[in-house]
Amino acid sequence: MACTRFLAGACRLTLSCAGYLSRCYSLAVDIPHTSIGRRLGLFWFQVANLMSAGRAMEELLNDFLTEATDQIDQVERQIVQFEQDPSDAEAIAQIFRLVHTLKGTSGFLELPRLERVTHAAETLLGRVRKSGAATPRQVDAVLQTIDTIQEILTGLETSGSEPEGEDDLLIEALKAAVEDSELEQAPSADSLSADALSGHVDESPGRPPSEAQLLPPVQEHTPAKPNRMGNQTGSGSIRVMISTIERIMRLVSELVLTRNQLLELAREESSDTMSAPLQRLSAITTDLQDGIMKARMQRIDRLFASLPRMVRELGQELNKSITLVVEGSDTELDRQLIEHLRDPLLHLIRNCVDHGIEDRATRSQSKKPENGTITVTASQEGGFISIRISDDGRGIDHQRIRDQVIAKKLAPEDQIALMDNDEICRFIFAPGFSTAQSVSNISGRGIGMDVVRANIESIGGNVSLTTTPGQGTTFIMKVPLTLAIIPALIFEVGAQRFAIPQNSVVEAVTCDDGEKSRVVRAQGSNLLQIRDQNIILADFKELCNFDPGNSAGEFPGTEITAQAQDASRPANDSLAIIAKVGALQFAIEVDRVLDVQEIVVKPLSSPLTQVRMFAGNTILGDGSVVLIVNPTGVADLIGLDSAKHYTASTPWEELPQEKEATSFVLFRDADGIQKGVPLSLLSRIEEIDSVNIAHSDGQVVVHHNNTLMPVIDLANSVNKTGQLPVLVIGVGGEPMGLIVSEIIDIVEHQLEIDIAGRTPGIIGTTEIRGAVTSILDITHFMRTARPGEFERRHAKRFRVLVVDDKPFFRDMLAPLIAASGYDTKTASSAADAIIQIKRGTYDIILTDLDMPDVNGYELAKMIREIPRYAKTPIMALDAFAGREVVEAAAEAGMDGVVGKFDRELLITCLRDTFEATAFNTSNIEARMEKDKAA
Amino acid sequence: MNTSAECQSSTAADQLKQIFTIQVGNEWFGIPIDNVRTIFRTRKITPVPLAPVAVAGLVNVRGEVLTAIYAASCLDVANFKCGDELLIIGIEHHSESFGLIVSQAGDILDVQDEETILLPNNKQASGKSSNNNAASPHRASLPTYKKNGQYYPVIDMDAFFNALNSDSQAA
Repeated sequence: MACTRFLAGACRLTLSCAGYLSRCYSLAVDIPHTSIGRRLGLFWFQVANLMSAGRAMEELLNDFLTEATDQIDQVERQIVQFEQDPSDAEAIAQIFRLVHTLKGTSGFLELPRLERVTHAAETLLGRVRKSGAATPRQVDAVLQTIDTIQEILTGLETSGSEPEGEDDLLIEALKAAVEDSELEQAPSADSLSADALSGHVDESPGRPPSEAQLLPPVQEHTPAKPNRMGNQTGSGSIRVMISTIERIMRLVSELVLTRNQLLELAREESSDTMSAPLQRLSAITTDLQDGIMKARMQRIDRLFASLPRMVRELGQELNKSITLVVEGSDTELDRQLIEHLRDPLLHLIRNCVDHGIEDRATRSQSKKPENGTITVTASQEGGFISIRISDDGRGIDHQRIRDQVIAKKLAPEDQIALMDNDEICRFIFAPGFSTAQSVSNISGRGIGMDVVRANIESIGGNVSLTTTPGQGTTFIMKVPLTLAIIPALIFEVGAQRFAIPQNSVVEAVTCDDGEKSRVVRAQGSNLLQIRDQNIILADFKELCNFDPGNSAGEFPGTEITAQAQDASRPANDSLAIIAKVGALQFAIEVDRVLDVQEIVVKPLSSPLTQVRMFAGNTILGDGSVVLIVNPTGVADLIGLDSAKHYTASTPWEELPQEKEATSFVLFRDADGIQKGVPLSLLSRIEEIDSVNIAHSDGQVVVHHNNTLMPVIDLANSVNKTGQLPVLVIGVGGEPMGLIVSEIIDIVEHQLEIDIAGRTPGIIGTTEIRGAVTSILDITHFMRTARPGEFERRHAKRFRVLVVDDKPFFRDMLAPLIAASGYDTKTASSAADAIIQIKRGTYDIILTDLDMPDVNGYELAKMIREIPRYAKTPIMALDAFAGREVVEAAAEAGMDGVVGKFDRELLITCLRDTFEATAFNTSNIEARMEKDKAA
Repeated sequence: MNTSAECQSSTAADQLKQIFTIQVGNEWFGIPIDNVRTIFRTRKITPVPLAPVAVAGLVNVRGEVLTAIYAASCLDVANFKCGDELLIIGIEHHSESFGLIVSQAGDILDVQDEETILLPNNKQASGKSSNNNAASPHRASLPTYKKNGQYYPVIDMDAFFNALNSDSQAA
């Protein structure tokens, strides 16, 4: 404190008499322990030097601007810190010193606007320092001051002189805010020096309180204390031009190349005298490379520093009180990336404040603390940085998103029906999506989330979210540690090598090995068929116009060997690299895949930036230049548009899960109409001679293996002779048959019903292989063919309740479970389920998770509250049994999750559960673990 | 249009004191000496598929990647031939590194503004690109110096690269 006053005195001296400059310098550098003091000293040292050297005022101004901008960053951080902890005298002292420094220098540089503002702010800060606590009004006034200062500095930077502006209001506000401290605490004798510094500011007392005072107080308690930082900034660091670092980088990569050449030579000559020093050189080079990479890294701090203030201001604007907790601000990443992350991060936080956190009244109604909390956490996970932004707000209303998705036709409705809540939520990132009911100036204009996604994906990252209604939302951004050095897959086409970023590569496979993968031609393009997936396959040569006589044609003298001459595709030995951009997958056909290397990414020169196919270039170990393929550009070239093809499937870590296809038996009925029935429901397909078909008692039966089997005659068999195909369906061991006219094929098709069925016996209509196909409702036929049997056979069996709001799943699952010998009932909603559960007795309840009104989790909780169902197994049915779902299900008291399409696991699960019930042990989880592992 | 181009080039010429001469095909040109960095020969060049035709590829010069350009293509020189080994003049333009592929490197010449000759604008008159002034050859109105009986049109680097960029946009 004493130091500062002393310093202030020194500055004054300087202002009045430039001749004292040198003395001033010697005083200033004597000030110990504060980085500010040291900086100030440095600055005055420069002033002294510059004056004597006679350098222009302009350069002086530039130095001042650089210093000032830095100092302002610190002020902001400190002031929010102070506000959160009003007893932090050190923080306010620091702010005071910084403002004071600005004031001193602005006077010297003849910047009257800046001087006037900082002067008033200094007076206020002096008071605050003494009273030991800042009122919100004071904090506002100081923040406003910082804004004005920044505005002036920006003007200075662009025009070289102070911009025009009216500061009277601000000065008034500052003066008015001074009184807050006076009201709280009379000036003590100790305040003399501050008064001396503030001088004329005290001339106008008794200002009416500004409207800022009417604002509610911002939170007074902080649940978690943000990282203390800034204290160590300034000491032990120097300022280096980025170009200098880049130059060192380049030289180091050059050194690496030279080292590699040397190593090669030494190996050839096998010289022992050389090998030891070479080893050393090699190790040092590697260390040097690491070192310089670290020099490019910056703390994510830089990004987080502006957040507290933003949250605070947004909170005030929306009348919400919000605490921001920042964790992991010492995480380091490439400075290039920090800038790329800024906009997405700010946008996500704005969203949390605006949509996530409820207003006070709503919060207290839902028994939450009035104070909302937003947590921003940065951490390093391998080669990635993940930033989580979570709020404890209202969460995202799945149903509203679903409605929006349907209203905006972002996906076909039947697909939407199959999507679980997590998938639906991902549509938030689809272009043009907004669920905000009112448009505010903070967020909710329908732009943004897709931009966030695009920005993050453009730097090879991804963004995802998890949300729990009523409890909050978490956004997770995951970005690579650096853009400068990335792992890349090196491949070869013709004689030329290329690199493709490893994080967009899914796998490399042989194009056509005749077994696992094969190439088919469809609609003029090649498709790579692998594991039931069809991936569009593009020939890299074609994409690149690798065509003799085109690229180098104009100058035949410079025929380059790398231009592949052979346009015809090698049939079997070519490879396909399966790449992905967001959720989009495609395959590129290449000649050879070489290896994965860490490459240093260099940008392409401006005439080449138009070539969207490539994102940059790099120099490999042997000194050759290699182009880096831009996966997004390739997707565009192929004609895939990542924005339009946005689907809600999980990007990143794993392959986007393909919806599992179901095998259907396709057949024709008497009218020649194509119909389908899931293969899983059939026990076998047989041929029966028409003479064995008999009509009796209004039923059609066939003599088969000395028994009578009821059949449904879809083939109008009375008019036919000879062998007729019969689909045999097993109902708990009692078979029934469907006589059809002709069996066409067995196909794999995703269960997607385009038009729901109207006639009994038909679940719905879909398109299979280009033909309209009706999917049979087997339950209907079972009831018709074996009316008694269907009910009777299961009376003594285990009872299963299937709860699903979608008739399709009820109709599909019920017969499936019934076919395995269990008595199956269905319920179309949670309410329906509760009625049935109370009325009857069930041994297991299978419930869909995603249902309107009451979802599966809530239903499970409700069931658990019924005493006699406290221990009854409840299994969740979900399209994909993802980890998140499994965890949420366990929390809701369910015993496990089964995939809706995973017929085998479902049946195994049931069997195990009933065995467990029989032996009075519950080992479902263990079983499921085992099944999963298998 | 013509007048303004002439005005620009004559102001540029006022500042030129030294030029570096290159031969492209059978024609000689000058490059402002400030732009020239290195001269080297190389066989290793990485072609860039889909790039403008004037771009030959990428070359590694001591750890720095430069974009090699057929000077002949940008300057509308016919009959340009080069062998496996390319002669490249490394230049810097707006802090990016390029290489001009030329037939022969000449000398550094001291030139004075008085020696400037404006050649008749026959290229544009020939009508090859009369509708396309932006991408039109820059040679037409280039300030030209006569030294030792040889004419040296001096390449306007901005125009040269503008033409290249607009080429690539068109492509």
